[in-house]
Amino acid sequence: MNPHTPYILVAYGSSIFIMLLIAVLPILKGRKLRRELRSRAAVDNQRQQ
Amino acid sequence: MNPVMKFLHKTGSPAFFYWLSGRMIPWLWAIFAVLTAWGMYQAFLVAPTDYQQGESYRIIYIHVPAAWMSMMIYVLMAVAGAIGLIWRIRIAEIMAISSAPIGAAFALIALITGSIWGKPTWGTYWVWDARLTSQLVLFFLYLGVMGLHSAIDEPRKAARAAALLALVGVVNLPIIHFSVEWWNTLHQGTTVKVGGESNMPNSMLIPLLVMAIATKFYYGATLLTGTRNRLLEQDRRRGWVAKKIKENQL
Repeated sequence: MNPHTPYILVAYGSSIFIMLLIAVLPILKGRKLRRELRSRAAVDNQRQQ
Repeated sequence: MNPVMKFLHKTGSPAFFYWLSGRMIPWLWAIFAVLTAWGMYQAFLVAPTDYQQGESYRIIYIHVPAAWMSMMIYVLMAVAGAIGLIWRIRIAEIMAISSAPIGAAFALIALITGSIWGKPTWGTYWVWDARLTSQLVLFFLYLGVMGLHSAIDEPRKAARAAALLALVGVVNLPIIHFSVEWWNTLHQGTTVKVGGESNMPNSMLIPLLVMAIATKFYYGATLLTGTRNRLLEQDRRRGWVAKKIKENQL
């Protein structure tokens, strides 16, 4: 193995991890928020009926 | 009103922004994926090995775009913050604060990959030289903007305070850029020059530029996702959100 390979692997591994975290967390947060808003609206609708 | 100003005015409407950004995000991700795949293929399988640094130089394909992005996002954050401060455009305020975690992530990636590259190249992970220290200050500025924003409960007051701090921090950007010229640093000088001849062969330079463009699409996609979330959170009791739920478009 090339002596520089571990450095390259750690550099790209940590970068991909941080980029995934920054990309995925807002997507999950958005999904949770939309689900919450939809279910609240459904409860309000049922109450009105 | 000219068509550009009309479009910008329309984008200031939360309902229109929410709809438009929802349409744009998948395209931004798709372009990012294609450019990254091509850039990584070129970086690892086409670009030759550096005669001085060996294989470790390939870290530049993530380090340099991340460092550029960390500075570019800071400028955009400060500009959006200034627009929010001057014209009180709420979408601009939200975009400014949504940029901060993405910029902080890129600043952190630049610091981590730079220090990993430094070990085989300079023989050390870290030195307190001007370029490395000013980049670390940039990372702390991002954390400061995020911390200040979350410390104030009222969202619009929080946005104004964060925008002011972001504007003050802009002074750090020329220090980062010119640090390798103003001081004697361990960090190498400018290799890629805009409008001048770069000190890199095209086989190494092109993948670097492709990765730099790819990260801009990543920023666009994550920024719009974060902005949509904050907008929805702030407007959860407003009419346009109720209308979107009713029309099954949320």
